[in-house]
Amino acid sequence: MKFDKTLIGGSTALLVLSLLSDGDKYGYEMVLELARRSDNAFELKEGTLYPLLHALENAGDVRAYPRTSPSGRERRYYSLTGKGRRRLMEKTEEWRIFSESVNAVLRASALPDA
Amino acid sequence: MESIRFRRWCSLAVSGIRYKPDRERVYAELYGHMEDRYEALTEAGVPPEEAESRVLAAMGSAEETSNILERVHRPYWAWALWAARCLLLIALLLALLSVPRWIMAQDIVKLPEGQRETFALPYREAQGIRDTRTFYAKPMSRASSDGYRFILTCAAGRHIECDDPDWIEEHDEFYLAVEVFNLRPWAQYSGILREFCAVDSLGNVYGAFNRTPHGGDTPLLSGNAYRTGLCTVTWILSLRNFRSQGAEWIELRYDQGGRDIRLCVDLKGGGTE
Repeated sequence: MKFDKTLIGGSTALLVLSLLSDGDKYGYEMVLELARRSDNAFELKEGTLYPLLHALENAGDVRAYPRTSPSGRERRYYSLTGKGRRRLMEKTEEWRIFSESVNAVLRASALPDA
Repeated sequence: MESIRFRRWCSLAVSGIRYKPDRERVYAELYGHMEDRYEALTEAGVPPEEAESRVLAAMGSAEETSNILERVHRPYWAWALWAARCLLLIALLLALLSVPRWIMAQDIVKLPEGQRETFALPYREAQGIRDTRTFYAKPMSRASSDGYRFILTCAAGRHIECDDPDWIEEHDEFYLAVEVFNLRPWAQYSGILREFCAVDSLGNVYGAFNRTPHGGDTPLLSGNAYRTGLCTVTWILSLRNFRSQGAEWIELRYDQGGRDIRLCVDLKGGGTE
């Protein structure tokens, strides 16, 4: 299913932080992991991932470091910082409240099942 | 793998990043990503040309990426770099401008052989100078005030006899070199030089250049400043209408704004040549 771009737009930082919560990753690895976890539902334009990562790095939420991958290619890995972990928790909670609120509104509208 | 289309995409995407090291790093990161994606596709059996197109499609618009990267990579470092370059350029220009002055000052003030500092007096074009006797005073007086450090490094005078009808037939000239150190560049050429006066042990007063009418036979302290170091300016002062023959000392004074700066020259402590 294709999503409206604006739906995912505000949540990409949350998704990226979430992807890093279980280990350090480089950009392409994150794209693959996002596709796997979302069952290819999210089609993030891959070029826009890097500005987002760099913004998170500037904000101190992630830290980047170069590392040679098992294939021998040097890559820039990203890891979650303590600040990033706290931000992930806050954003997760924010998302939970938001999605519950949206669901509550939708339930109240009582659209007939298709 | 080498792809001109990938390179073009990456170049455009990073074109908004002004700080070169960042630009190169992001370029490599984006290109590496595209290589990874391309290899995955070709290994899955996608023909190279189609794989290339799919990678570019997955990356999205290079212009859009460029715009976001430009916003994220705020050019603080680039500004700092430009500011540093401008400062360096200004410093170089100042250094270049100060070289001729420095050379002039070096011509005027000759540093010593042995203990005695000698003073090559400013040469004045005149016909018929037939006799000069130069005498050296004993300076090395120091003073400090408001971030300035003054060191009286040289003092010398000469007696001139001259056949030139346009010149005073016989007179004395007296010069002082004062090294003025100040860490603040904007304060190094301040008008303080022209606010100094000089007095001698006989009671003669050589008025400050800024506060004394010029001309006639009024005793007057005047001079010029020459840059002789990064934080150092050397003043070459002359006592016009010298009348301190026989005095034991001459003192440079600055007493404006509650300050009291004094630099003393011992006229008896030098020698003659």
